[in-house]
Amino acid sequence: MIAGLRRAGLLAALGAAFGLQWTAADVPVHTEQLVYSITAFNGRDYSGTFARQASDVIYLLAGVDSFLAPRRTLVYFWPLTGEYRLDTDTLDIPLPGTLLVTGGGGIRRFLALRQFTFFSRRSTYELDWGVAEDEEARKVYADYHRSVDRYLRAQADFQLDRKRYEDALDELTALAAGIRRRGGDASAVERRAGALVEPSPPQAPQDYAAPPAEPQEAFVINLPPGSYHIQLRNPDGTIAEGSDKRLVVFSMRSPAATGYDVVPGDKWTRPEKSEAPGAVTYVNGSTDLYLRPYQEAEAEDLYYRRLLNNDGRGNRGLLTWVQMRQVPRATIELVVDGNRSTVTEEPFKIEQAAGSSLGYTIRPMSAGEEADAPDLVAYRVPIQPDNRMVRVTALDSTGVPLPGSEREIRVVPTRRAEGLLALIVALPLAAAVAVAALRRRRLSR
Amino acid sequence: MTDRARSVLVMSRQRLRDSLVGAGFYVALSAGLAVAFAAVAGFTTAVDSSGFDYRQSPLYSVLGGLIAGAFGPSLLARILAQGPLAFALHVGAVPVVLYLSVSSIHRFCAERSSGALELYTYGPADAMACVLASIVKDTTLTVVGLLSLLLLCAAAGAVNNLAAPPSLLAFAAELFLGASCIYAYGLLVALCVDNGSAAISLFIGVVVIFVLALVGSHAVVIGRGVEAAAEFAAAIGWLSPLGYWAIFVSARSAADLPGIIGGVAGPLALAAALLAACHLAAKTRGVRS
Repeated sequence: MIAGLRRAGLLAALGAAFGLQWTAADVPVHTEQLVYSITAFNGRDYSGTFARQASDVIYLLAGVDSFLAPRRTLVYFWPLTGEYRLDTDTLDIPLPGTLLVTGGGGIRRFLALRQFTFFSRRSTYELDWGVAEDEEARKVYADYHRSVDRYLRAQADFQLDRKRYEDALDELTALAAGIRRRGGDASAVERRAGALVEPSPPQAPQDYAAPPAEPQEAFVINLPPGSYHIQLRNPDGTIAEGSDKRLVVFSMRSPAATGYDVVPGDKWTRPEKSEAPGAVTYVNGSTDLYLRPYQEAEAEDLYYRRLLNNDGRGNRGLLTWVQMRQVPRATIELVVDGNRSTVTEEPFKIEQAAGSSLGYTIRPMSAGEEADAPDLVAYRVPIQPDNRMVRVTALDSTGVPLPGSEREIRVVPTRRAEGLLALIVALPLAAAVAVAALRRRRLSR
Repeated sequence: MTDRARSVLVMSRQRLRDSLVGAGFYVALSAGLAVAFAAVAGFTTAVDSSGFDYRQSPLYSVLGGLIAGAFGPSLLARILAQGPLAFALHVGAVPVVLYLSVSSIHRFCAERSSGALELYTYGPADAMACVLASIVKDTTLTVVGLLSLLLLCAAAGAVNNLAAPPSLLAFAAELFLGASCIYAYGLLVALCVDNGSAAISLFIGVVVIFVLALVGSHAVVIGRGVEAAAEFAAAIGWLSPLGYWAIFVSARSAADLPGIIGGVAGPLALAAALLAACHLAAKTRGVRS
């Protein structure tokens, strides 16, 4: 009995010990490091990443403002996503000083910390990014803040007005009901109720798709392409330990080309991309395609992926296509099996199939739906299973073909004469058998 | 015509006849065509309403996963941008080139050890004529193999409505140049090593090194091994036919004329240098093991 209890106690102790160990293993190790927070323009918008102490190189685009903010914080590896993360809640100390940038053909600059904010104004298609620095950043942020305050005050006033309106309406409705109950004429009261003006809600600030954030301090980097070195100098002139990095500033390859988002009618949530000029999109022809042309440019795969994520993986020997912005007011010329036509951009509504069946229907917006926001704005390319090839070219607003916008869409037939191909594969074997037979015949003579 | 040229012509004709009488070349060619056919069939089965989705084909889901994992998604998109035919041509050429190089090494070593090579040199032929005859035989059969693969690609394109990229012929020409270098490497190894099995092993080792260097120079996987492979690839890049092939392919997609010229002139110069090395090896090591 005692031995059994001892064994159970030992097992419990072991379990507790292992349990504690597992619990400890669940908490990633945090290390205090000097990191550079990077807010980099990526050709389309701003993306945030950071360069931890072990990272030697920071990648930025040339000729545009990007922002580096050195800080002391905690870095840990998060195994679930396989990436390094910052724990700025526990420790986040922005580091003062100046940034020394050297290299790139004799450049030697001391940069001071500046306040900045970035924002995106609302535009027809997508994001239209802007950057404001120092006084302008504070002004942009204050203006936005004021417009939000105004909106919140107007919203509060609206709630009060609405309450007053509803109270007055309730009062007059009750009064009219009482008069009618007593057999009197309530038309005068009803007229008064009808004359009440329902307050309309204020409109939220519409200027920004992505409003300016509170200005932060960072070093503004805008350099020509090249390789540089950066180093943080403390206010006392000493070099901050671990702040030495190489800075690779690269540019997109020109000329730019035109890419397409290819949205299949039956899987509109899973758009494909047609990036390389002259690329062929193969489909089975079971549904129409909806295209969205955009401007694109090529960048070094490794540089670009590490611009998006400093710990990212990229291919140093390859170029990658970078989507920049949608082509405005384009038309698309189609040549379907030799017949030429053009399609224009249209707004569409997407309806989920009713009942338990999955799927969507994409339909053009009808006359009464102008006030609604469309679910999809694209160019519809009708595809039939018996089409062989559809040639696509995007034209600009003046009808001139956009560079690198030519594409082919080919319909792969579902029933294929693959026996012919199998025959070609077997031909050499048949030749071998024939040669062997001929040799045997010749030798037997 | 010089004596050596005549001997090369006669010997290469003889070697060609020997290759066409045996079953090996036909089997290798059929294997190459079957691989190319599988590449095309796998692609067409993975086409749905939205385009090509490599996860829908067992073959491409394995290959695509490997390529995307090792080299990044950009490479896979570029390889299949215009369809599967260029990819099919490349993978289909591998069994043919490997068979031809290994069989030539085997034959050369066997002739050397049996004294047949020495016997040739008593006539108008010399060891270099034997090397050149072997190269002529291999390159001629490579042309046959590549033409067969192009025929399959044309038929597959017609049957499946696939685009024949304009670069297909250029890729075939570059494959031919790369294959010539591989054959020259094979014969150099055969001249330097007496034993046939050892020579074949060494040759496969050399090819594996070139493949690893190519993989290392394009891999996205971060690690000391890959970094070292990238540095190694940069160091031996000018010795590797695969390195020139990679230069040619990337230069073509970027329309970079100096790169294209380098990708064509490189394997030609490499093949010439390897033949010169073969000449030296034949002189110093003799024709009898």
